[in-house]
Amino acid sequence: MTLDPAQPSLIAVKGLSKQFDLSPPWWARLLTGAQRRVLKAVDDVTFDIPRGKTLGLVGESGCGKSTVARCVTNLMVPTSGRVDFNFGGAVEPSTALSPEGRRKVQMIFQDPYSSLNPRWPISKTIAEPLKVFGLKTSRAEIRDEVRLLLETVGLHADDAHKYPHQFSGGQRQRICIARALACRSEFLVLDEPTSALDVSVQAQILNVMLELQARLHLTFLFISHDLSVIFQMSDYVGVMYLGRLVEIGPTAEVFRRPRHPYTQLLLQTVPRTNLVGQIRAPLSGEVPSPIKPPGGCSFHPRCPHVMDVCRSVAPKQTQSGAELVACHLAAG
Amino acid sequence: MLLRSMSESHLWHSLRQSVTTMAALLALTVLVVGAVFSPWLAPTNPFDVASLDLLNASMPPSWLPGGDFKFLLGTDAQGRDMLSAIMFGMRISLIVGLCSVALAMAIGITLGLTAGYAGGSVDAFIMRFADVQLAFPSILLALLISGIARSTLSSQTYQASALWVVVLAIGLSTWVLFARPVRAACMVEKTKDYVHAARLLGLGRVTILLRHILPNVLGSVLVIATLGLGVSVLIEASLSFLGVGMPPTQPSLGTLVSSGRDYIAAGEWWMTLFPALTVAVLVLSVNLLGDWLRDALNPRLRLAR
Amino acid sequence: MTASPAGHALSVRNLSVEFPSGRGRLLAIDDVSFDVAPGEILGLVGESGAGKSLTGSAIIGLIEPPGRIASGEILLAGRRIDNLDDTQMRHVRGREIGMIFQDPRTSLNPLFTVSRQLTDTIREHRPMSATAARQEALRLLEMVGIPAAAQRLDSYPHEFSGGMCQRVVIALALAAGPRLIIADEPTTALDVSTQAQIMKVMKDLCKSSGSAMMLITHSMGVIAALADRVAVMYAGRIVEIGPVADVILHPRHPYSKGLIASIPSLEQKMARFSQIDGAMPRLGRWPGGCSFHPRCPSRMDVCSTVRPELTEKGNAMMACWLDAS
Repeated sequence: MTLDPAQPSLIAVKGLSKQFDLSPPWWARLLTGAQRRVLKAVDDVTFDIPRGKTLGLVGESGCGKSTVARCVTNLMVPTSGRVDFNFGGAVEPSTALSPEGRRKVQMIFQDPYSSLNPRWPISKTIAEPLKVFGLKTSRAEIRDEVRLLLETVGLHADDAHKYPHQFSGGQRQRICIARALACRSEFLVLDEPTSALDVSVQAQILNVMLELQARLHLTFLFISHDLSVIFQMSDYVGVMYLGRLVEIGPTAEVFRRPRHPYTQLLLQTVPRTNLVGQIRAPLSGEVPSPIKPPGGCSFHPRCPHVMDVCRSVAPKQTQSGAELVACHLAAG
Repeated sequence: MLLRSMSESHLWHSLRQSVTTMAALLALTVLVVGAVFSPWLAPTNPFDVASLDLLNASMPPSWLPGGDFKFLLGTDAQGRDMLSAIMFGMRISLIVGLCSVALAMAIGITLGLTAGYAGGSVDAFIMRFADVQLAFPSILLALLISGIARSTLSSQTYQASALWVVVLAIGLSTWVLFARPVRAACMVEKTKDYVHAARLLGLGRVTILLRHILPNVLGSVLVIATLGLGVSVLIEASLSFLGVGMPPTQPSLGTLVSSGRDYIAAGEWWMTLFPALTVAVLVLSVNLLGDWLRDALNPRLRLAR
Repeated sequence: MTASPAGHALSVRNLSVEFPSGRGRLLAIDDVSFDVAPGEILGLVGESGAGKSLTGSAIIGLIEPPGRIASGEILLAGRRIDNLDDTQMRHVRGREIGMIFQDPRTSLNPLFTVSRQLTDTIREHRPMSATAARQEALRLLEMVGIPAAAQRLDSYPHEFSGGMCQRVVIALALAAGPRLIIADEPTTALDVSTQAQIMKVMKDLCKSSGSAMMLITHSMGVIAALADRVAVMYAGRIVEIGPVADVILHPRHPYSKGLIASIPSLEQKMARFSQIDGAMPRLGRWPGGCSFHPRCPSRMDVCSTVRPELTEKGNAMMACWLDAS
């Protein structure tokens, strides 16, 4: 199933899995008889994003959403599954992207303090993609483009010679956006881009992103643990729990009528400013370790609707309205 | 490059706060100026055999009975002025020290960056090699190298290339000093997002290492280089003292200590004491400066202000 | 706010904290006053650099040097504690003021079992036998909702999850039955579902034990759920203080308004986020007059010259020249 059959998908992810081998080396296993320990960070995740739209991925820490981001951008090699891009020409797998394709896939990172080279003036950072991809060649052209990009993201062009430590967190995130724009990217992975920022600055950065998306017809994969940011930013939302995509569908649909019990739990417990004095903690228990996830549906120990089948069989994704849900309740 | 991005006024301010560091800097300046300009500053040229007069041999320092004001720190058994010999010797010691630090830095940074960035078996191989090297006293390694050079080269070639043999010996035995911290810093830097951003541009490993990571690990290298200079001067002195370093025809401070040693029993202590004191002051002031530099460049201490 | 501090668990009067620097003294907290009643939870909210954590540090006497209290008084149940020496202050901390920090893992000693850390703290402040202290430790762990507490008493912190660790930290803070608990971003490091559980524990305990709590956080959601009253800080000053329902649902200070409006809503989708332009100025670059005036959408001439003081407005107090006359 694609999220919007009428629209061509810019990116299609099929059966993506990433495992980390945490076991001791083979000789130590031989000597001590220790077992192999494998962390399934991402387990069989499938989704696609229509061109010009935003898919939000939401989940608690350790659910694998950042690993998905890194596999999609090829910073990590997935254990299995594939990621295909379609920029209007032929379908390109992420592992064999042309330089042209690579330019179009960029990322904004969570920590604005580590995502800029501290020893480079920001003009050099923003100019790097221009030079690497040969988008601009003469010095004057590069200088003008950098100034233009800085103004596009709401900074002063005269600050181009400054170093990262002279900027605030929000300003640095704008610089990172300018760097991504310098690539003339079409697909941006935003990995918790505002979670290190104060809320008033977060609003500024999210506004910049919305404006640029509308103007440049960008496609976003927006990753966040903050449900309200996801709700505002995305057209589609995917909910992850322990490496699996438990629910994915149009944002309005998922937030209005969450079908998976985990999504319901998340939406119930998030603190809201309009509900003064209320704490809703309907469930006890915490996210289990992803090294030893519970068998069957990994959410079953915390699920209020747990059935016998949940303990033994992992639910498959099934269509439910405009959504896909991995839950035995939705299937049955 | 390193100094540009941090405020130099801050460094200067922190320097002035420490009396010890100021004293070390002063001592080091006097020594280095004396060494570098020794051909012009030294009272005599100790290598000019024609000017030596055996009548002046073994004279005590000038303030002692029998001393001559011409020879401030006395003379050696050949009638050489000790002060001039020390100034020329220090020059050789410093050349050996600087060159071997440069060599150790080149090897250490290359291997450290490679190990840190590649990780896995490459890292394991390089670092186990470094461990073995560390378990091996550096003097012993230097002895080995200069021993091999001595036995394979003709004595004339050896004489001519003695300095480079010593540099090689010291450089090869101290590179671990650089490799370990560079590897650690590289491992920290490579997980930072600016490196990921560079990878997204499709840059190659070498480009990323040289353009992005190297400038960011150089800060820690600078401090080690300073401390490494002290270590190198000390090893050189030890090697020369043991007779496998600089030959008596090109005496370094260690050679001077060594050749004066035979006369201590005869009460002619100045031939050993003054070169030895010079080594001590030189190494101490370099180390004090290195310590200060480490504290001054430490971002955590800097933030506390 | 009443004038007599006697009935309050905590009274902060005209507190100022300064940092000497090359450019003279920098005021990081400027003339801050508030009270917390027993059993009450006061939220202290603001963006990074507003001085909320520093206010907490000032109260427990742990300001990082060279910072120091420049003026003002801190009264704990009517007794001044800002002028106590280190030994006396150490006794106040733990015995009379409990502390909960953001990262539960760094608040616990990884080398000691949970029971050891709890009994040590209990016996430090309340003389009792080892067995009695162990009973007390067990009671505390059960109180903060650790399942099968008896079996987990002798576990080490690394055997606990983040949420469970934070419960242990809360138990430690409560060990001596303090008058005041200072919680600095207690749920920020936790996941959403765990966060709600911890908030519930904190609120219930505060109400049942009668301890006052000062809750320092950047999250309005946490404040809305937990606090009775809230103080909004900006650039070292309180700009608005009042009952949570008033301040959060009907903020009046332009900064509180902007701050609350910029929180993304979960109720209805907006085409654009409401934002406050600019950023909080760095320490030492605070503008004159009302320090919010360069970012304020409704600034007037007076704002850039004269500093507004906190004045009563209905249930709340705010420092703003808007409808001041």
